[in-house]
Amino acid sequence: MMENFTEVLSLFLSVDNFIAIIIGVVIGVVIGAIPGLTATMAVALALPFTFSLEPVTAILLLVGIYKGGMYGGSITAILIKTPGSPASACTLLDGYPMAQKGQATKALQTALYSSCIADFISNLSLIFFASYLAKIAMNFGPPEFFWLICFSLTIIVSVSGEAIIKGLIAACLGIIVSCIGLDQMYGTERMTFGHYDLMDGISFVPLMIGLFAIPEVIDFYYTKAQPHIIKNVDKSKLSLQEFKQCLKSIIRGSFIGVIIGSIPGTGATASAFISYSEAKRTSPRRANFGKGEPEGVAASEAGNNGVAGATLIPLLSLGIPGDIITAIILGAFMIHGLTPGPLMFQQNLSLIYAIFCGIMLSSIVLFIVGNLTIKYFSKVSDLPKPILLPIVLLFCVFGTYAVNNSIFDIGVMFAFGIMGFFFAKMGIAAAPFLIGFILGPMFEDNLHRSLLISKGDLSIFVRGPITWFFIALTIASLIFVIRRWHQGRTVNAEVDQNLE
Amino acid sequence: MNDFDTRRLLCPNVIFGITLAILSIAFIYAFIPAFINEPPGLKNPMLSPRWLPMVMGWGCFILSMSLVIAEFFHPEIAEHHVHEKSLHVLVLCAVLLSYVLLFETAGAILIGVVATVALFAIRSVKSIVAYILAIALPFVVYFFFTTLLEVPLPTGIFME
Amino acid sequence: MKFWNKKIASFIAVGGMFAAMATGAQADEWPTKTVKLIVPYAAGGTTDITTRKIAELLTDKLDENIIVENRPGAGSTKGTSMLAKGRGASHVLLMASPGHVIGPAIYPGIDYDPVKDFKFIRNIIDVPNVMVVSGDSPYNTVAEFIEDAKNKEMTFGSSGVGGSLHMSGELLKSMTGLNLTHVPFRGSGESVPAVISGDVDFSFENLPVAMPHIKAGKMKALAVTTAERSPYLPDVPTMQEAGKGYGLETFKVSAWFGLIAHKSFSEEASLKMQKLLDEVIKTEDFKEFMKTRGAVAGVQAGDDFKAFIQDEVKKWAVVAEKANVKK
Repeated sequence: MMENFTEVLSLFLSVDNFIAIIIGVVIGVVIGAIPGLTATMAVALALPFTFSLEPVTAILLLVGIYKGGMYGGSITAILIKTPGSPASACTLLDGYPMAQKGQATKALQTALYSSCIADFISNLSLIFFASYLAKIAMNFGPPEFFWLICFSLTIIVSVSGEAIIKGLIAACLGIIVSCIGLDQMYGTERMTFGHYDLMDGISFVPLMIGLFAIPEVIDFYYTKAQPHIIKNVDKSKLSLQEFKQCLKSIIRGSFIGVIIGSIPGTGATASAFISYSEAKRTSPRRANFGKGEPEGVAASEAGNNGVAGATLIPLLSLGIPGDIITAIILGAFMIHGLTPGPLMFQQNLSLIYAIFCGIMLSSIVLFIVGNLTIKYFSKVSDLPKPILLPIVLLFCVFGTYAVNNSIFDIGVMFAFGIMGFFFAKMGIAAAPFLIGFILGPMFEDNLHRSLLISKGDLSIFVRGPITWFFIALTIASLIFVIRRWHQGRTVNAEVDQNLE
Repeated sequence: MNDFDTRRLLCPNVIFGITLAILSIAFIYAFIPAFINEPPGLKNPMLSPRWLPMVMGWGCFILSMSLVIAEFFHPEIAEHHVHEKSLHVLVLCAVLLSYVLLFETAGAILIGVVATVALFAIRSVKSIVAYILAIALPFVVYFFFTTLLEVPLPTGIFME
Repeated sequence: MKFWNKKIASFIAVGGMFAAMATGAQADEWPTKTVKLIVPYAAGGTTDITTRKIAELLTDKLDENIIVENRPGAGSTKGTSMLAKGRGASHVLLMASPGHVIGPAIYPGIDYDPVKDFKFIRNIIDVPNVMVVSGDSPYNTVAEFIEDAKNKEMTFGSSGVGGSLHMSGELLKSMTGLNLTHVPFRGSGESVPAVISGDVDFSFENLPVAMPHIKAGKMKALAVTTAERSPYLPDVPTMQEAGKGYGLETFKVSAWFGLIAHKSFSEEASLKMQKLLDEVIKTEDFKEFMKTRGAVAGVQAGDDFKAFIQDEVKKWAVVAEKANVKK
């Protein structure tokens, strides 16, 4: 053991590793913060540079970028309603209203603290519970997934705001849009009109930026110019009391992230929305959600950062990448002649522990780097809109083009921007559309897979304890939604009677 | 119960609901058969590529009808908030269109500068610093993307 | 002198008047400007990593810079279509893979001919696919599997419809006439757990992906799909050996990665690239790289490579049609 310990330290304690983590986190935060450029892309672009590094250093650089990128995405989501990466789309629901009230610093702080705490919890789970969580992940087949997605779909209601019917309509439309492209089963064309660019379906990033950022720009030029009023801004920082109020949601979100992250193929975006919806369901300040509630920001960020450490669980313990980023990190391991999986724990244990040390350190580095940058980033929201919005538009266009090197994507972004503008005017929430778009294909895939595996036998959908658990969760969630909706109606009716 | 009020027919929710209901029916009966092929020899109707769009189409229809019905039972008539509209949106449209049409031919930098300056101008930004920023920023972002991140952007007619 | 040649060439290009004029004009000096390697897939995948490694090693041997550009979409057909259109064709190469020959059989409305519109430089690496079953599966050989599959329906997973892994399964189906049902997943991250847990009966996986699970005993390798056994799994028979007597004597699939260019790409440049790639493939650095990817060096170049592609295109068109994967 002692031998191991010194070996771990000798692998970990090198200047290169520290530099790699710091550079990684900084690159991640910057790239994550640029609309269109995601953490995934940053990791992919950095990969070739790691060919010549030592294995531990290479992995830590990539992990640093990944973690930095997860937080970086929330910066622009909060400041300019442009999620830097998909996982932070949920953060803007409360983050942007906060920034509009002048509380940009507070929102960024909330996001950073919850990100770091979630990250830390996620790392601890990776180190201590990897083998247990990996077992659960291996028992997660298509029918289990199917019910997890069904449960996730119930969160549409909680992000629909006041207009639930409209929210559901938006979700249906989102699912329809997600069907565009080649069918996953037979490769038949669905609504592609023979158009090349539609074969792979609508890309995620342009859709998301279009849906949230562009309507702000359109709306600004659509309404008549108002004199630039400097609102009575509340520049307060996050108080200890507010932080305490958020803590429960942060911890809950972290664990949601850990579970979701350890199951291959679900991802941080879904986790953020589930965490947000749970926080909204249980919070005493639920009425304030969507209008600039710090707890909403905290829940969402905890949900997406909780995934970061946990996605390494199936990778390191089973050798199975859960998402694109971990697939790239797997590539980095392989370049250095290492194959993650159970054998690596036997053969290269010191190396794994050295990486664990580095991953823990990366959370701390993220905290420091984040804190240093908040001051500067929050200035962005002080810029007057006539100057800010054209620049936002510029970044959106450049970033969106860069995703696939495709001019078509810019068109897609604007098209969904116009749709988002129309949604906003009609009082339709955009988030359910996004959730439908993300979950629709997962729903369909897992339905199809289950039916194919069972050769049409429907009993596969109740085949084991995990399916039962998620069925119960789905039903409970639905009952809860209906009850709350009913309560809301009776309260409204009483108010109306009193008015008469 | 409220008396029937013709104003309800003109409320945006009703118009939206009815339009969407018509579109859903058109989607189900015309669009899906035309643009989604069904492979032969399906073992289960749920496996069809048409199944999910079909279900969602019906979902839209039912929800939009319930939106219309709900509007009639709504205690108060929704009021329109009419903002003063501005013609600036036309300039914005031109900018968006030129981003799509000219981004590759004219190049990222040129179109970026022109678009940003145009949008500044119509909202009467006066500060010289802002205009310098509008010209410098596309260059900075361009070189940041292409050299540091090695993400290519269209160079356009000025450079090749 | 060379300096001025470059100056003149770039001057012409600045005018943007005769973008195609550079083609062949100074072939003895090729390359005259930055060489672009197109990856028709997203960054981070095998094609991308291989291309970037090649670019890194080629940089030392060429006077000009090399840049790698990702043009993902519709399998690999979107990036390939761009190459076929031939903009700046004299200095653009593309890393082709099985998607190049399977794509035309699957994607509708392909606007290029996968053979006639290109010049074929060299096949760089070959990676075998391997047929795997769960570690708990009762089958230990291909023969045992086939005997059992004659009486019942079997399912196989893949990383997605139309990929080389899916088509390997369809090829097996069409050559043996067994009742096999394809279950598509998204990426090997989802298809590997499905095999290990036994949700699907078997699956084809890329060798480097399956390797750790085979070693850990979570998966059993029944056969490799290449004509020769893989040096990384010397005990596992090829499909041709294991499937003798079941009509699999000609079964052969591999994930290959090779550089192609637009048909107007000059012969001289093509020869120069072939020579350089030969050198690159022989470097220790690249050998090390191939080891990590479970790959062996490709052999075909020029016309041999073209003939190989021609055969592959024909083969997959037949399989795709039988498999009812729609065009």
